[in-house]
Amino acid sequence: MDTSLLLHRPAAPKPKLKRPCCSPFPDSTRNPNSNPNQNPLDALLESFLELSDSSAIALDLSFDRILESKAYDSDKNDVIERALRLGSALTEAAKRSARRRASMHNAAVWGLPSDLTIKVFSMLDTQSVCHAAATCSFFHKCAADPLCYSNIDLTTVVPKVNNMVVSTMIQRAGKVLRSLKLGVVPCPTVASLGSSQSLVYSMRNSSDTSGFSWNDKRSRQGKESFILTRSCLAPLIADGGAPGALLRRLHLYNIERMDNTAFGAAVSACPSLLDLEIVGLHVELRQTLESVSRSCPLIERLFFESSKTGRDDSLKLPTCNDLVTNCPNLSSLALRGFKLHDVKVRVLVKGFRKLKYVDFSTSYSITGDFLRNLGGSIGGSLLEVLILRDCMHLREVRPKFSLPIYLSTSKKCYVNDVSNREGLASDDDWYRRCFTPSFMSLRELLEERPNLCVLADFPAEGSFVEEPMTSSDLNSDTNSPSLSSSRTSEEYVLASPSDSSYSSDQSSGNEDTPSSSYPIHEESSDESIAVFLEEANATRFITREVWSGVTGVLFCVAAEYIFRPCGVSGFIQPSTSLLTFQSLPTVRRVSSTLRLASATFERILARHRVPVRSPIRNAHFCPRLSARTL
Amino acid sequence: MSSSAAENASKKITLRSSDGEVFEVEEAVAIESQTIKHMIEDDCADNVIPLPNVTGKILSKVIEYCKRHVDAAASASAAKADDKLASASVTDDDLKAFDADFVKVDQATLFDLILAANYLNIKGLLDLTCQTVADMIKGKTPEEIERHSTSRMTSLLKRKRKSEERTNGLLSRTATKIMKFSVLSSSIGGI
Repeated sequence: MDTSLLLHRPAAPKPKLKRPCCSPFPDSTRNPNSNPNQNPLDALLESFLELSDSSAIALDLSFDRILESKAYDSDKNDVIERALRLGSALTEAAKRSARRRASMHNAAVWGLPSDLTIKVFSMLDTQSVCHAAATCSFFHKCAADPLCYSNIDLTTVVPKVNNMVVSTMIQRAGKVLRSLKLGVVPCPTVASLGSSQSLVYSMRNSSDTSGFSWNDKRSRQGKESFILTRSCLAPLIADGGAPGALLRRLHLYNIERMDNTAFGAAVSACPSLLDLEIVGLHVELRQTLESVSRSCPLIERLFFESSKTGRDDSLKLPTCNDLVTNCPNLSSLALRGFKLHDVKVRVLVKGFRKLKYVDFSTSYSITGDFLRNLGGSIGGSLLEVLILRDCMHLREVRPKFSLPIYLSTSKKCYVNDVSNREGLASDDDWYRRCFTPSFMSLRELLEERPNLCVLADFPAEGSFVEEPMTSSDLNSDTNSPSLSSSRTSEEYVLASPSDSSYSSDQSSGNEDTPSSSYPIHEESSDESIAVFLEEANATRFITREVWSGVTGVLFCVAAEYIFRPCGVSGFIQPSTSLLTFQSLPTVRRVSSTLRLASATFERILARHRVPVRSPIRNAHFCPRLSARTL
Repeated sequence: MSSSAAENASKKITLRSSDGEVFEVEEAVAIESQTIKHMIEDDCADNVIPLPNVTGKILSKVIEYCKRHVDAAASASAAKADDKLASASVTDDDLKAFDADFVKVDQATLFDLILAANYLNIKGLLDLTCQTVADMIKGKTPEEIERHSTSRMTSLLKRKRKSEERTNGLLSRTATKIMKFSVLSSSIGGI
């Protein structure tokens, strides 16, 4: 009886029915609760499930009995196979239902409907979205919505993301993609100067990570690699370019396998790009600028830091002209670490009508000539921030003439940074480096223009001593080779030449203790303290020697690639070595002035999104503090 | 009911919550909610606007938020007219502080606020509350998120089940009290 039942219905549930079931179709009268229109399978299953609190042993015995009742071996095998199949089908159905119910429970417990959950997720960063997706199936469903991937930030400290991840996310975002950040950003050390952004772009660090990734690759032979290859941006082009079409921001850091063609192809798929930041990619300047000028007419911010400092000389005049013509909206331009000639720079700076922020730090071959006659004419008149840190060839004399004139004529320039680790070259002889910019004529300028901030920080000649700070030693005579502010002579060229190699590190030729031939004018420094502090509020013109007179303590410019937005605003003469702003606990009266000044500085820089680099660890400390305070 | 040109912002709108509480607010405050604004414009609200999806407690909070923002906007425009930029930025900071305090509530209220802001279509409140929830989720591992988002309800369910299992002995009654207290404290602290 049971066997015939089984043979006729392969889709029937497990053949473990204890109740004798004579007819192939269950009588509806047997089960008083069943619906007369119920699917016969449903009824059978229901009646079976009502049995299921039978013990496993009883079911086992029943199954054995059924098996024994089969005559042939093939029949027995059949029964067993069927039992397995049907058993697993029932288990799967039950599991699926359990998951669905759990998901519904979660949704109810969570409290928000899926559209509001998606809205919440769209305010999360990419990492948190992934974590939320892993939490439960309801979140997983919500996290798959494109709106959650509008801003994709896949930057990591060490190489962890590969092409698959990028392409999955871009595909999920689809048309909603607005911002994509990709690559390896080495972990910033403590940003003690507390500015808004703090990313370390140093090439040193990028070569560290490339070393890491090389080892990583070796250890992962045969496993999934964590490297981004040159086609990592291919998903932007896929699908007819839909993901890239509305992309506004693209930041790429240290993707060493990216090359010109792949990058150009990716950029060509992003016509709405507004903000492009490239750090440490092995792409050529000229080709990159050409692809940008070809494909991104709306671009407003371009930040490009070279992977091979000073060796990329590819910029040509036609490229500059093209860029200027095709991208008129550019308001922030940064080209760091390239070999730029003044002519081309001039074209760029004059050509962009809306240019407000310019940064040519660590550029070779820039002499400052481009600033001549810049202000006042069309183009370059909106310039607010000009940064020329560590430009090897930046000349002292020229900026001396051109900068003040430029600044006096351009009404709006707020920030100026010509700090240079190696000092400014003097006019004729490159080797005679000047460590004190004689910007004396700026004083009057700064009186007229109280918002102007000039940052000109140079390491003191010969006083790069790496001693830890000792407190309140009154020993300022040998310590401060500072130049009197009352001196009116034009240039003061310090005799000791610094190391002539470009890749010198911070100890270049600066280990000598200062010679005693430097004039020290202590009394006038005292006066100048009074004078300058009075003016500090009005003009924000604070010389370092004032501070060295006061405390010998200033702020941290520890090495190349340091930008201190809130250390000081104002004019600093190089004299003593440097100290961190944080180690100024005793100078309270003075520091409040500084902070007032620096707040404006910070605001201006934050507006232009100036990257702040954290001081490196072996910052140079002033060995002796003067105890003279006001 | 007819909105003539003579009637200005001093016109009062009455709102009734789901549990029967009635609130009278100025029109300028009420139309912070796009839903209410459309109801008024379409003239389908006679004297009282019923809001069946919002309880009185939540509605009072929402009204407080709207009032505050309307006042801030008014004073900001007044300051701009008088060219007092400093005072305008001060009210801006004040408003931010108010917003930060406003969302320091327990999770259930926060979620109710989200639902109310969504229903009433108040963009600023919706963004603020969603951002708060996003900040709660940000930076957590999946286990933490799960624990965080389901903890309160789960503990309630546990409590209900356990109290059903309890017999009426004194020992069990005391035990129930202790357990209820611990659950309550964990739900207060576990936001």
